[in-house]
Amino acid sequence: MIEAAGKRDAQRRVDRIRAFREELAELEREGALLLPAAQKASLDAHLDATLAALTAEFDVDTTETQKQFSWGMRIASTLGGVALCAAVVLFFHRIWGFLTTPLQVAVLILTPLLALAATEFAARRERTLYYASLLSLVALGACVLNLNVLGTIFNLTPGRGALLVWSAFALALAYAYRLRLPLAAGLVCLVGFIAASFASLWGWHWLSFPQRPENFLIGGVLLAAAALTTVNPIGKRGYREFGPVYQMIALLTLFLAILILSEKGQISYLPWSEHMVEGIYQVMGFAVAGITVWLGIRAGFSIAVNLGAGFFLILLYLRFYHWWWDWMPGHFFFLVIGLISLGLLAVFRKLRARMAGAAW
Amino acid sequence: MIRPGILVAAAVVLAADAWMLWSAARNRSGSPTSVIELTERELRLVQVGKDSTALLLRFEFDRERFRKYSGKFEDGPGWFDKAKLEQVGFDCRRPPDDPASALRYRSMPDKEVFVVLEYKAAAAAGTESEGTGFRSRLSAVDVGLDPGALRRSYPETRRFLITRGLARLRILAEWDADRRSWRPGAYLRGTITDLLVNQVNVPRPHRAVLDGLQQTTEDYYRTGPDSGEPRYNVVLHYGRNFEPFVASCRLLSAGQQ
Repeated sequence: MIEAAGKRDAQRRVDRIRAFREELAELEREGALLLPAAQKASLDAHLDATLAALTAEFDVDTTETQKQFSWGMRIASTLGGVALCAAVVLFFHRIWGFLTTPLQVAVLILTPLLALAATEFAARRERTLYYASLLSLVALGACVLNLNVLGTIFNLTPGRGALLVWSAFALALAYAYRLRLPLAAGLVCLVGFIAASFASLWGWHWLSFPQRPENFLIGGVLLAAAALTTVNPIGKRGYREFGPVYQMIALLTLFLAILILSEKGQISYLPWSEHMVEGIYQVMGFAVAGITVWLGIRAGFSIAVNLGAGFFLILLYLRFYHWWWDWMPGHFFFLVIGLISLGLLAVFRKLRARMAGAAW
Repeated sequence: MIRPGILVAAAVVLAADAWMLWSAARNRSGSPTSVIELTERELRLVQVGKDSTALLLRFEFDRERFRKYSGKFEDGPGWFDKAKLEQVGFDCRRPPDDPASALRYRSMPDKEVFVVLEYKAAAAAGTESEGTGFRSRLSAVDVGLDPGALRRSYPETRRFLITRGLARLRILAEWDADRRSWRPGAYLRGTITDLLVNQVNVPRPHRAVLDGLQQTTEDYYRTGPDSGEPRYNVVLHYGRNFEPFVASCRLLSAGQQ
């Protein structure tokens, strides 16, 4: 029985089968492994049946050429979605002046609902979900247009609730069709909503939330915790393919916030001196980077390992710049940076070997 | 069977729209909190987009618009001084002359406050100084967190407008070029950077009056008559949520301007 939680798992299985066949052929050519004809026929039949079943259910790519085409289709789908969003927004702006207020409201409410219906229709007709993905972007754009323009029509005070609505809408779409672009948009809006709420809690206007990077730390931590749940499948199918998206957004949110605070302590909520705050966040940055790399290796999260290592390097080079640039000759500074980079390269090679060992 | 996620997404949109429509209806129910007649000086016709047929009027009032502009040191704190800043919730305990404090003050985010805007139309008639023909006659005169208390202090609803705005703390100091340092005597001052609802949509029944105007306000004042007199006025009502809506528009003849 073929079991795959989603298209991503199915594609991995297909890639493994292709790699296995290629390696088997190589071993036969080298004379290392010669299967009896009956067994080879049985094996080939089984693998062919598996590939056919996976292709029938998930429409996966069974050749390298198909894979390249799929990438092109994904890019076309994304660009097409963005272009259609722009078309919807600009069209509404064009016809706005000719409509009465009740008609404007009706058009605004119906547009995202129609886009949702079109997405569902496309998903039922076409298994690859390229059209559904494109239409989901249009639905998302229509939802954003809906709230923005309704607020403009009635001169309403802007509120942070719009971020929560957009997030809920995008996440509902993402989980309905297992689409990663709406998932990313939904998570970004959710982080923004949490940050805006935190800013309001501190007494600032919610729109000023980007001015205090600490507003983003809670959202980043919550997303990082949520990323762990995607590793263990929820229910039979799970959403493992969402794991990398959760990791990327969570870690980028945390790392950027800590990086900014390690350089500009005066924009922190902490009541201490600028230098003390920067010191605290520098230490925190190195600790968070280290923990991220360690957890990433243990759990097999390559994105976490790469982002953690990258953040560690950026923090380190910034420290070197602040400590040495003013008094060290320029050529010597870059020589030292180069030598340290060579040392770090050796360390990362060992880390990579450990990840490969963990995978086996 | 329809996927549950689609039903959730549709429910989210419908619930959000219902909330917004209810909020708009609530704002327009009952008696308005302010009824004020403003001219093109205070509500400026703007171009929304190249092909857009939306008609929006943007508020213009006497304010410090740019983040880096802090005003002249010799102006003093005015009405929005340290006491007023503390009243609306800014923490002003650090001494302004301390360089570390100055950094903190400069990076403080904005706060939401209720702003009292005075319309000085009556004061302006016959006393206008040269070159102020097109300047807005709306200026911020007070702020607070309790709109009821502000209305009791400024009861004239046709002269004082109370609405939500953004307040920012500024620190002003004098630079000593000889010593290359800041002189002692720095002080704190508040400023209103913008209104939360800083533009007004003109709905279909009222836009016929303004549809015939070929130029935006900016273009009109650049290329129009030297007197720079406004072309229209608008009666705004402010509702229970302190959000505006257009009650009427009319073009102004030369004698009425």
